[in-house]
Amino acid sequence: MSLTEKDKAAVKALWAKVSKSLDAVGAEALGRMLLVYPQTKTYFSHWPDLSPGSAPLLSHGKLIMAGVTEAVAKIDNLSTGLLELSELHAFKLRVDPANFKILAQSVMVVIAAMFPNDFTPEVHVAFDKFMSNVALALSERYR
Amino acid sequence: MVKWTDLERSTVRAVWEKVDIDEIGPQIWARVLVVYPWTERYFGSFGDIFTTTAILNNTKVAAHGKVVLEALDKAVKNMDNMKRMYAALSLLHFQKLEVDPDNFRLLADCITIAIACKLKSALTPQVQATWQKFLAAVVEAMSSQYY
Repeated sequence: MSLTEKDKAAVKALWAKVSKSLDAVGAEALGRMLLVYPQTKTYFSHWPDLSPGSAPLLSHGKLIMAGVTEAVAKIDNLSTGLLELSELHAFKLRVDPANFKILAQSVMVVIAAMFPNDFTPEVHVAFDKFMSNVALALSERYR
Repeated sequence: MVKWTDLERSTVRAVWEKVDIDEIGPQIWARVLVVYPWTERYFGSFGDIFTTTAILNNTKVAAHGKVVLEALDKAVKNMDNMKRMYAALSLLHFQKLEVDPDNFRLLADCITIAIACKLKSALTPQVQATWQKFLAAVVEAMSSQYY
């Protein structure tokens, strides 16, 4: 499901709007993911505090959003552009790639709640496709 | 069988109270068709559902959204009995409508997003967790008669 020029434009426009609240979106998305999909907590047993608003959550949310921002910038070539991130997830973090979809859904719920007028069905499908492509690029080095 | 606490029951009801079926039903169904276009395969009788504009203006799409939310209303009022309550509907979706049950999960995701647009910050992380637990139970009940 490759991105059309229209999809890419929609994603860039959405992300420009979201960028002003990036830290909040990141922290919210991560916090919700851990609560709504408790199996994801298994990757964060080294954190003392998994509650919403906690320090590890805030800093890690920032990190993840920085990754998505990088993906938006490299939207024309995600599979080569995200190779390093893929290696990180594949060899170091060893995150089951099924979780990329889960995080994507969490991010979208937060964006829908914070930017309801911008997250129209057309923007939703473009962003969903984009996140699927990001997931694919992140899975590139897994096996 | 899924166990519900009193807090979970009241949370689901509180979310549902904010949902106007006539308003949100059409929105949800439009999202399903736009975001997951392969679902068009089930709606050959709906006329033009092949562009976003057509989908957003299609009265049959809007009507179907309301039908689905009216069925969801039954689950809100019968949280302990979903499997039995949806048995006939599940069988219908399997035998007659031949719907891939993975689509129930896609629909659930669209419902949550449409509700997020409506409720905004009122859909707190805790409320979202409870709401998605509820929808997962609905999806399971709707998939239960597939064999």
